Amino acid sequence: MNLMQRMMALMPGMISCKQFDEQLDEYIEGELSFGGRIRMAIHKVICRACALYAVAYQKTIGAVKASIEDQDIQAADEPVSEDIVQDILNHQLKRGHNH
Amino acid sequence: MDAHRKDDESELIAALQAHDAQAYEYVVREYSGRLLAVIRGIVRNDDDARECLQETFLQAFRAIERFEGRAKVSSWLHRIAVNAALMRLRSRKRKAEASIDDLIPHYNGSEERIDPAWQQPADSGPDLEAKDRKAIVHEAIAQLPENYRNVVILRDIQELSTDEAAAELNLTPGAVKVRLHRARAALKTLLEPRLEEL
Repeated sequence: MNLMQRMMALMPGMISCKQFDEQLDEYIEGELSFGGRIRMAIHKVICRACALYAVAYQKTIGAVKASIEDQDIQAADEPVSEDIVQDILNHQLKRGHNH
Repeated sequence: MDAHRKDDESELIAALQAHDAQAYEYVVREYSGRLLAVIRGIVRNDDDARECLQETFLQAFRAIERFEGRAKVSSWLHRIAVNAALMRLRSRKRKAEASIDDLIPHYNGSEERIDPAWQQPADSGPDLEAKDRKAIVHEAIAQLPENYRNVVILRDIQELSTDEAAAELNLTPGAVKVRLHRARAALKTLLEPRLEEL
């Protein structure tokens, strides 16, 4: 019996790595109950793999969110050239109306 | 075209669904600037961006009859534009769609993690510029299967709530949560070698 199995046998409510993963989004978004947060925190202390996994997972979410930022969109929200608009409309008139 | 203001989206949608040329033109003029900025941020090439913008409107107008107005027109166009740009990026890089099952965590019979979560990231090279960091992330998102990619776009990029994303995708909130979790886990795997640089 490894450490995790021993801990799960000794501590009622101790969660597995799979359960940790399943609750990770709710944990990150603050949607877990107090008891749920405690169980996640204890699992992280015991399981280094899950602790590292959670850090990388959160970093991934941050990188995705930062990849398309509002400021980029707002900064470049300027009129497009008339030839681009006409290209789209002409293309649309040729193809779009016949679907 | 004052009748087609943002606060009267249902009228605008009805006009688009009736193939009203003025409504089409309004939408193109109103949203092209923002969409082009988003697309250019992903494909980073003016010619590709222009083609993607055209593709975005073509796809949108083709699908307008199925658009139920659950999302704002602007959000709906944004999602189509991001998808079109990511697909352009994927075809340019000649990367295939990744299998989600190869990228999500695996467990042994005791539900212990068996993936190497503590793997060392690759040695960081010189500091990446913001646009390079974004490009790495975009390439990873582009590799996700479409039904996972859409959930990431709606939840993590457009920052819709689970319920709003579920309504737009015709899924249950539970299904959105599961897909989002699997998509994020897959992205983590794809980005992990370079996570320290992001």
